[in-house]
Amino acid sequence: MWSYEKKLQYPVNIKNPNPKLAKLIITQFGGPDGELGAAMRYLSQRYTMPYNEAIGILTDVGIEDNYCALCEVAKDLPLLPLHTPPLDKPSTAVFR
Amino acid sequence: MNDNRKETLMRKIQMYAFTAHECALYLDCHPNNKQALSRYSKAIKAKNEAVAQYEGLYGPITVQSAGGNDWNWVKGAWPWQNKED
Repeated sequence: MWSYEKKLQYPVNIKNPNPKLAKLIITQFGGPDGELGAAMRYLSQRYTMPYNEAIGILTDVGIEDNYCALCEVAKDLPLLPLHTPPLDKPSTAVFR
Repeated sequence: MNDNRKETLMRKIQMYAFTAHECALYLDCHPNNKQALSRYSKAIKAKNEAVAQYEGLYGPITVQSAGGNDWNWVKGAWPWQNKED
């Protein structure tokens, strides 16, 4: 079980909306190679892991990094962001 | 000027929460690393203090902190609403 925190992972202040960048960001979110799918896979794969460390990492990466990506992207779409896409966050390197 | 304090507190929370989470990811695979454990504890403590301060002034961050005289959970802006309220 987890709970929701009414906050972004880091502050976002959109000054210059950038539709092209927004489009790029949303392509990273859904679909077969998207962040959301990855999060679901990690959270599902936990249950058959033989090592506790693996369960831990799948849990923590699955929840925080992907749901933060969710919030960041969901927030950005209507506002057409110009800022670093979630791809550049160090934690997303784990998924590649 | 109240807004400045709100932003400052929120930024502190975000900073400590991020630090704690990064430490947690590391500790998941290196559970006995003393340095990481210490850093994690410090970050979590600082985060909790900042959260307590923030919630006292600006309302709940988690639904478990909600309540009181009215259901303040649904009042005020959500994180993606920015200053539009």
